[in-house]
Amino acid sequence: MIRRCFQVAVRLGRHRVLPGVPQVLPRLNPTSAFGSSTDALVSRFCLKKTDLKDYALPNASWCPDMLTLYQEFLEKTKTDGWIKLPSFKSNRDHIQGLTLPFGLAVASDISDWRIFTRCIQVEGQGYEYVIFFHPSKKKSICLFQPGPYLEGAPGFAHGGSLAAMMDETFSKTAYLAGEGLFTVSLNIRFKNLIPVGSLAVLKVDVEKIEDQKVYMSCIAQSRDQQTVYAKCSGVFLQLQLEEESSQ
Amino acid sequence: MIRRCFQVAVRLGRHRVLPGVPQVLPRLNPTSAFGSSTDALVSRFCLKKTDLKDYALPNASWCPDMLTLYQEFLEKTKTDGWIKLPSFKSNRDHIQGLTLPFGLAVASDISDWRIFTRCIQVEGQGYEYVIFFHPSKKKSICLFQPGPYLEGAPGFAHGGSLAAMMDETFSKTAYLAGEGLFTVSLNIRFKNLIPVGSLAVLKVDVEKIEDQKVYMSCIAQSRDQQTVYAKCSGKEVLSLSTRLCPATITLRTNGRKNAEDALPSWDPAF
Repeated sequence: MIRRCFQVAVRLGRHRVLPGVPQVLPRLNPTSAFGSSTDALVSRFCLKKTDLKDYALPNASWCPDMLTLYQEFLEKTKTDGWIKLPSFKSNRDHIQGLTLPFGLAVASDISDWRIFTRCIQVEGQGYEYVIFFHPSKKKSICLFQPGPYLEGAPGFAHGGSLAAMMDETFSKTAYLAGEGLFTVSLNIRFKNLIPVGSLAVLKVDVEKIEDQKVYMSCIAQSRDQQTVYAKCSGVFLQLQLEEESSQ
Repeated sequence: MIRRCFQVAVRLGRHRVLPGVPQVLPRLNPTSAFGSSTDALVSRFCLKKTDLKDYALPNASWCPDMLTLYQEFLEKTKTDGWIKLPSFKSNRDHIQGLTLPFGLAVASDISDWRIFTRCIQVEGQGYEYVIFFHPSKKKSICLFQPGPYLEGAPGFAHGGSLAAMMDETFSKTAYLAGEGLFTVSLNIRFKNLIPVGSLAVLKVDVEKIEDQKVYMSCIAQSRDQQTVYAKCSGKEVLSLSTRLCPATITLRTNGRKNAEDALPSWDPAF
């Protein structure tokens, strides 16, 4: 049985290196940052012409804070170089034509998949969020409103729901900033509880890209920045998606 | 506006300490482990007579590995001191008659709440899990099967879904082992991806209980332990010594606008 694990995959990748050459993954060009530029990744990711539903758009469940901050950032997409990331029902929709490297891709007869942060589709019940990304500054802002199905302590969002939102924001940021693909580590310090139905603003910065890893930090705060909900550092492994071979 | 944050609450608690007395929160008895014993917490938590649906029971979506390991642990509940924890739709069902301390409890007109790890109720679609707890050894085992609505990379569970499962297992363990209430930190190192539909076994140990914090470690592995999915350590759950408060005593002062206002006095009778 094929062991679908990326540690094995990475080791297999290393076996293809010539002796005397510094250990790098296949197709890694040491002179450039990585395979594809951020601009190329962004344009492939943000499919302009698509029938796919974008869930990162305002709806009736969004609280006033979220709506107004969303409008502010929408303005910045016209003037300050920010980009609003689309959010489809599944990551498979985001990477059409591409597949996981090293044989990690698995065939399955399941047809109904959802990315975890879009697992609940009733408006306002689960995750309501939108991510804005700045390609040149390599930073992201995620507007996150947890619904009543994300509860932990009564009336407040489950710590794990915030952990997953941070992981997802890291994931999209790492991918567009440097082809980061898999989470290596997450280190979260919780400070305060997020009331269900209120807005949490997650700011993510790419600290550095080094040794085939993307290092990021995140701070989650209330809109007025008076309450810090949590701080997190995250590391992602750089791996290139492969073009799906035409069979 | 009342700042609902437990950092403020903890500081307010400290204001009531007499000079010269080591800083402790109200009613913390340094000579005993904590307020309630694990046995007392467990019996209150595992409501024997209830109409509430327990979601931590086998269903058609459980893979063979999960079913057989579940049966093994069910046997251990008869012989080796393990307890199967019930899992209700909401944490509110688990703490009936109790409420959050320090005025954190919030009134709301929402009536449909779900604990995050039970947010998807279609069998096999989201979280399938059951937690076994050992009161005297202070350890837990969580059998976790992620469904297709927990996806991250195609075919594999989202890293965040495992983070949340670890957090939830820590949460129940910390509460029963030492009245741990809120997550302070999580430090997760991911090693391998969990294929959707397969079983991940999470083993949690309480390393120590100190300074009003419960320290735990967790390792998530395949059933045969040949593949390590992730390790999580140094995780602390802040245990508020004033534990969950009986709801019959009015502790919330909704009109309290100034965080410096005195906390209401507590009835120690519980």
